[in-house]
Amino acid sequence: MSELPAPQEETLEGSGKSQTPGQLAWGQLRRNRVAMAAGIVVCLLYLMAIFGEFISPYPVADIRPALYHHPPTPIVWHDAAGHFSLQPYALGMKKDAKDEYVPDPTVRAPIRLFNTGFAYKLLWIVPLRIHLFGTSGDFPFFPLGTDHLGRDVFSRLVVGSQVSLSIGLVAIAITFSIGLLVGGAAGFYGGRVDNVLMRLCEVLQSIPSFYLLIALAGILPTKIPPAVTFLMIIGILSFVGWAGLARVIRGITLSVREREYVEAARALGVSDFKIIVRHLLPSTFTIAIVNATLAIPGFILAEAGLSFLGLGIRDPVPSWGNMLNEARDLEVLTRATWILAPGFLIFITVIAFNTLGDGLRDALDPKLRR
Amino acid sequence: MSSIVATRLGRSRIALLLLPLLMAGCTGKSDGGNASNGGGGGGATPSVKVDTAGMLKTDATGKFGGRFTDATNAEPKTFNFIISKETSSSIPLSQVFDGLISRNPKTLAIDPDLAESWTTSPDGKTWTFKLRQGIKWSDGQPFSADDVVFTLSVIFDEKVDTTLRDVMKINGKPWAYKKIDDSTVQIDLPEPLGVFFEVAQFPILPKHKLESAWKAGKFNSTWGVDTNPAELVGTGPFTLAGYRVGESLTFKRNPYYWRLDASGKQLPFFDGGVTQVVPDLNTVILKFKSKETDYVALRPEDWKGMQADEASGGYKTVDNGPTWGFTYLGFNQNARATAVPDYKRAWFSKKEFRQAVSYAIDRDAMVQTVFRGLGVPLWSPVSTANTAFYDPNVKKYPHNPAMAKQLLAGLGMTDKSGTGMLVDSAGHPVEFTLFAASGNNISAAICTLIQDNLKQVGIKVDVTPMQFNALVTKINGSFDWEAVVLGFTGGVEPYTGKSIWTSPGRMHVWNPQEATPATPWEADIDKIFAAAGKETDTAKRKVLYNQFQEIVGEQQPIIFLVTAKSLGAIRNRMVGMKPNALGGFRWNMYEISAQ
Amino acid sequence: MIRFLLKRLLNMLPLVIGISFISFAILRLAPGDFVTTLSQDPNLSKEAVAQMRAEYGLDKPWLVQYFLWLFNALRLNFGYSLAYHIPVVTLMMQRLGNTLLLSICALAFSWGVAIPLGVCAAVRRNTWIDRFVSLFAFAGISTPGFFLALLLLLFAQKTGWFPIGGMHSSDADLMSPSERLWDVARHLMLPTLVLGIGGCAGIMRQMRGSLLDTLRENYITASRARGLSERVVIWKHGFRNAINPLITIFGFSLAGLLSGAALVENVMSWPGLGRLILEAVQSGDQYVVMGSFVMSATLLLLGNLFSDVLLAVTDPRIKLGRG
Repeated sequence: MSELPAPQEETLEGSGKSQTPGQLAWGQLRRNRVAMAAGIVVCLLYLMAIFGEFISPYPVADIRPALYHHPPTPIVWHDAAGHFSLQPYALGMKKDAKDEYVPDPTVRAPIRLFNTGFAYKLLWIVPLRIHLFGTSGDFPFFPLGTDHLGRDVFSRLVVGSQVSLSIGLVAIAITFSIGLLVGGAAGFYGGRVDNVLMRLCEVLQSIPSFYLLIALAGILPTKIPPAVTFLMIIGILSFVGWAGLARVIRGITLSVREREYVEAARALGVSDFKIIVRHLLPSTFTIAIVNATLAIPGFILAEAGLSFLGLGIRDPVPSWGNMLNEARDLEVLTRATWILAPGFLIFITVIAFNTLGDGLRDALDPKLRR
Repeated sequence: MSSIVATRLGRSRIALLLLPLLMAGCTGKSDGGNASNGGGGGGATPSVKVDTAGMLKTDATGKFGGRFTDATNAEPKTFNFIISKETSSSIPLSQVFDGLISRNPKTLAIDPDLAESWTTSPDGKTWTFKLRQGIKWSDGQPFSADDVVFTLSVIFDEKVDTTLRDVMKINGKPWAYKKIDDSTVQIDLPEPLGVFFEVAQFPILPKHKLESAWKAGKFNSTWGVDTNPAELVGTGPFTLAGYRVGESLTFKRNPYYWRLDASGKQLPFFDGGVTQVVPDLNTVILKFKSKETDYVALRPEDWKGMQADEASGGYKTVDNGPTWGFTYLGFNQNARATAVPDYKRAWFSKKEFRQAVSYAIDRDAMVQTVFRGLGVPLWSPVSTANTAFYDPNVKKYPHNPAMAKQLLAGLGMTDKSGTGMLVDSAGHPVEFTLFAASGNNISAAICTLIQDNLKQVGIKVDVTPMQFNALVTKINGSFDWEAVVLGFTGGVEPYTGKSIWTSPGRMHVWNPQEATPATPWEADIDKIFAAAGKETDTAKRKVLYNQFQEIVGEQQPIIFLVTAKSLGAIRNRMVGMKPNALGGFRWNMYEISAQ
Repeated sequence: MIRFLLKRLLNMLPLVIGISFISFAILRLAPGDFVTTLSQDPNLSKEAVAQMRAEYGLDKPWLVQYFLWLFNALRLNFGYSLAYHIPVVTLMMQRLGNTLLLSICALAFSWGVAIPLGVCAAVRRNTWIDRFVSLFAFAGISTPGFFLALLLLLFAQKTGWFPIGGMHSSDADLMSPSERLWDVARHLMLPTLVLGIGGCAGIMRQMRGSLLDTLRENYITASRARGLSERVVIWKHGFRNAINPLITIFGFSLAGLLSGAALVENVMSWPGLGRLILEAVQSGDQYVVMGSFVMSATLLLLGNLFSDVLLAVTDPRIKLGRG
């Protein structure tokens, strides 16, 4: 894809205004309704992460051992007399003769918007006590039920997105930058550079990540603050992940570099770096985007695997991955299916990111201009 | 090719005379080779004529024939019982081999196995075992004292890679032993050992099969999992007929087995069976539900669901009572632990601190949450199921946060800042780091509950899960730990936990391998164990163990938490199973049969 | 090409040695060793634990341990398993066949399903087929392997149509050879499905994306303009160019053939190498672990070499070895 010449003042069709490539792309994207919907979903996900504690009714560390595996609280839109009301009510639940939870219509509490709940810091700065919704006092209101220690799944899901969405994004950003550059360079230069870089990739791919992690877990002092743990996890995941991508990119680049426009760019004296980044890599965007969306759930779940080694995000800090660890059990899966909520959100995230990515790629591709 | 052949049951001439010919079905005349493995009684010509004269008559009754199927959660690592160090090997091997004696898990009595009777000298150092006569190995060769002496020689050979040797040595000294005659063996202990029966349950291996390998120095690699199963000759109820690597072990009846049923016929009732290797707990339960296995061990969370389907599933659930192990919370009281700040070690070394933590923990809630109510709180390292030695008078610590706060206040730990969290008299906030093995859901849940319980009394606990090897290295090697939640399995004689309770012990968690006992009560425990080791009178030993439990209950060097119940489900067709928490489900496979 | 091949093959040995060195270093860096778990037995004395360590050679400095291992490995003696007391090679050979069988079936399933589906989705872009296939792919990517395994096992138990894990039925010994063959085939179905679906989803998306890109190229439009049939355009021109990244990915997949999928083998009781290696890693059975490192490193290098050669063969624009 060669660079477009600078836009002229008048366009051929006399539409009056000229547009930068960026504006062209944005316009193209706006017209792709599915991609826009995906984009909105992604924004909502990140909003959920940012405003996590505002949205969640309970603190993530609050355990209620007596209420383990409580099903999602039933919400009804009629008052005690049975008349329809705009005010939703949460019903209590009690255990029946078979020791299963059933709704108890005699016990109810109104669900209020902008309820007063536990103290937290909005955007990590502003101390507040207002939450988006909730019941007052101690009434158990669990929109998505509770886990094996009686913690509210919905609150943990929402706050857990902070960890999971950022791990996914940051790990991909790092993996992809390194992978794309190394792969692009290897493909472009070929010969010895290619050989050295690819062999390096092979060594990295062969390094036993499991042992590396255990070794790290054994060496690092146990008192490291969670923020550092978090960064370390991302670092480890990225370090282990980029070699495979580099190989795929290199394969494509090997093919693309023989094209005429690359020769032309070289003849024009464009720097190697620019050729790689602006001419060769764009051909790899599709694969890169597909890989990115394939990698997201991989990274989120890999973080959960780390917790088996004592390295991941530690209780009580939630992450989608470590919440799913509880669901590794048929008993839980069949009797407390709401524990799978994080899996469903991962699914949504994958779809959203991928569709958005597809849309972005389409928008940036001048061949598809309409 | 069918390798599971229903061997015609050997019949003693005496039994033939007693049985009415009408009753036996197809007995009496030889039928010619009729290989089948279903139904009862139908059999092939016995290629062996077995004299049941010296065999042990039991009161077992049941139908002959059929096969059992069960599952194990890991594959055996070796078929050499003496080399094996893991239950994945020893559990299948215990179907194939016997020892001189064994502990009956149901009655807790010592059962004579290959030894018929024994006597001991008044000083308790010499034990003479009279072996059962006329017993043959599964290949027809006669069993004799030579095999016992051979086995002991192998075990005490320093070049042989076995953990049995260290268990059996008394204060580091090996046994002396000799053959008196073909059916008598004499064992001379270097010192009297009150719990001799605990260490005399070692398996006996055949000299005629293994002597040459041992003499050639190859014993450690003999009878590995690549061995032809026909080579594994034992005296147990079954022999190994086949092994599908990593997948299943097939057993078949041992035609020379030395136990008889109530009517004098040779046991086992089953013609054979299959043990499948199923690593995942979910899969094991699914297999049981689809009727592929005859019994299954259950986790507390499976109990309710399994009980609900009893009628439709054709099985019964069983509750075997509490398991014999314990989980504990330990604090580091080791003066050599330089990584732990002195002031914290000072807290941990005070009895009142430990007792306060014990009162603060809500064990009943723990049982409810972690084990769905199917567990028990623990006050002693000796299991409540251990009717022989459990001391019901041991001090208990029912959930009492007020008492906990009182004890802590007595140590100068009070809520000076009004935040609800305690600060000691020097101004240090009362908090510590709690280690647990990662990847273990039960441990993690217990730690979270402890964290919450202690928060209620004002102590801040920071839970750090750690990979198991890293954890063990920190605890045993660098002593770099403050508090830990771990567990031990338990046996009948508390003396076998010597390494945990005596001050020079390697597993003396809170202060391992002390040169001299750091506290008077540790010195007391040392004396009790030394006396119990020599005490051959069980009643006197019980008195000593009671004293030990009461000291540990009062001092709480490690705080006992909870244990789950041993649960399971057994298919209705199985007859004669006596499951229990100590022995498991299949310990008496020789007398189990199917309807 | 021959020179390129020879050079790469010659490079392999030092590379594998280098990888083994780094791997061993990391392995020994991790705290504890095989005896650590055994040492938790309270019945063992300090001397016994030390004696065990000495017996297994674990008390020597790690460099010494490594070179001892290397000298033997170069003569194809990969040592003994500390847990099983039999040679590592024997141990691995016992299970190699099982893992190979499962891996090849899973590979065939995932590529056999993914490639046509991917092509189909790309060609019928944004139709309901594309959306449905993509959705299926997303679900496959988001579901971890063991979940799928658990769900399929639950399904097997409820319907009784499939056996619950394992490779043979418990009465397999009584079957005739042809019955046994069918028995193994029945047991293969669910694990293949689990592993296959996991791989299928990703490959399908890659194929679709790559083909979409290729189909936008000018020469495709030109071919259509020249009057070539759509089928020729897609398969002869589009597919052949689009296959590039998939060949690279296929190279990695070969490496995974023998490492097996440990988690799925665990849940479905498949007696393969993956489970063996997982247990060895967890217990610190280091020579088995080293054996598996060497094996997977060799396969990775061979797989990459294979895909490089295949790349050059399918795409004449690629000139390997040239700068």
